[in-house]
Amino acid sequence: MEHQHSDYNHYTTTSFFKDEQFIQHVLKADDLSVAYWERISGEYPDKRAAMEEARAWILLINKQKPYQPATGKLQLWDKIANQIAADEQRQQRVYRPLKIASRWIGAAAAALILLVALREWSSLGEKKFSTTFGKREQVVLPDETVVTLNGNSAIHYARTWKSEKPREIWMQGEAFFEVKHVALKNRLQQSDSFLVHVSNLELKVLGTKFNVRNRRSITEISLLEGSLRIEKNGTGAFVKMLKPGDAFMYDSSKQVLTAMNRNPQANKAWTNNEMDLDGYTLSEILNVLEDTYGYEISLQAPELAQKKLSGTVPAANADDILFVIRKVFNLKIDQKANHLIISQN
Amino acid sequence: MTDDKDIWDGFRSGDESSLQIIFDRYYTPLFNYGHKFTQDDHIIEDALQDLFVKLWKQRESINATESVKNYLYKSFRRVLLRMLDVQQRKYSFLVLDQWMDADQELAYDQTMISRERLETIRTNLGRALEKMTPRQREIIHLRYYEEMEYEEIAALMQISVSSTYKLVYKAIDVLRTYLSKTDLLILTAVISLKKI
Repeated sequence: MEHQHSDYNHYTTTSFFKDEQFIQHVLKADDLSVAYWERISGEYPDKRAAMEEARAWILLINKQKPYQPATGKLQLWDKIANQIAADEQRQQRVYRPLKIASRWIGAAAAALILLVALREWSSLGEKKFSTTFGKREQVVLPDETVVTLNGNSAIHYARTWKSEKPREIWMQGEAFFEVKHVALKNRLQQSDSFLVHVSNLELKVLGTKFNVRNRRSITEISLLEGSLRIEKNGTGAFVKMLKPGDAFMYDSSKQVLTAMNRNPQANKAWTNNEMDLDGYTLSEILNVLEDTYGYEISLQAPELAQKKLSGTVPAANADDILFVIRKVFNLKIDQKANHLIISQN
Repeated sequence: MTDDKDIWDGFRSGDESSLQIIFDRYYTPLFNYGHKFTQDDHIIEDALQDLFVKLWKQRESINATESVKNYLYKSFRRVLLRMLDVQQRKYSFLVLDQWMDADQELAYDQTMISRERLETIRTNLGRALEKMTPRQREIIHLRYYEEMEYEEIAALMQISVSSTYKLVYKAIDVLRTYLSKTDLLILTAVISLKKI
């Protein structure tokens, strides 16, 4: 420590007591401070008493032993630890449920906002129509194309159809399309075509009437009017042009397209609340009941599965169909909720 | 020994054993400081309990600190003074503990003055301190016993640094005034003796 040599002539006990250098020396003496103050003591012999007194003051205050309370440190810590534990328990009882509740409310609010935003966003981007089991719905698209949805079916498409792009629609289940012809004669453009995405097929049409049935792994396409091109991209790619009256069946599990021996008109009979049974086996009819009307069916007479029917039956609802097959095949039908157990009477 | 600051950080992050280490380290100095304000141990214990329970409760909002000692002294002082205030006790402060004669031994060992002379000095200092206000006495304690810097004392007593200097100056002034009086007394005694 650099010692500043002061004039100590007027120093009293109090002056030494408040002198920073002196305090430092008394409390934390080092060789330098000892040498310094020994010199001052030699230079000012009349100040020795004052210096000693000031030194005593400082030490009297500084060197006091800390107060020792009667009770112990450990007992006090135990009291503190107990109170901390009690406080935390109370907090858990009172605040934790509140905290959890507020957290849940927060999460619920966030989820709600997200849901609303998502709905808003998705409805902006996409239009969706779907039907439940046994219900039918007719949808008119922005280009006036009419789509009739059978039960348990859905379509969706981009809300805004840009004029320079082909009209595109995605479907599941069964639907009958009456596509509006927009192309001018002899001036066919990309934007004039109408694309239906079903299974992993792409159906490209102009103005046409056709029925698409996509159930299980089978997609049946029946063309009534106009022209239709089936395209399959990727593995097992193919292109097939259909003429009016053609009906084709594509099995996506086997990736094969086969011609169906069926009158396309029959495949759209459902749009008139009828069912054309020509060429249908009983098991196919039962599949329709499952796919379109939502039944679960157990056929306990397997010998009947491949039996065929002919004719048109009313099919406004499933009961009509059930009535007919019961009478024709002489069946016993036990119904438990939507579960049908069919057996030979 | 682990640094105070690290222990403090441990406590702030929710380690109760760190709080116990802090309590262990500061129990005696804080109790001693509290004892200067009141000689009722129960109040000091209550204040310490209150302080440490509060520290734990508020651990998440407590900042890191340069000096754990200063933080604890400041908080403890506030808690204790509020308790004393509620009990309508006067702000008092004791610098020299009159019940602790054993201290003298230590002071005696470190000075070259006689035991009798030291006893006189002690009595004089004690009387001079009694003339001071409690706040002046506290500042003397913090400066000479706790060896705090003026900035630390200012933060602890919640006054400005310049006020701290003024307070020390006034305290020393009381000391000088008292001492010159005693000197005068001795002087007059000598004169009167001469007269006889």
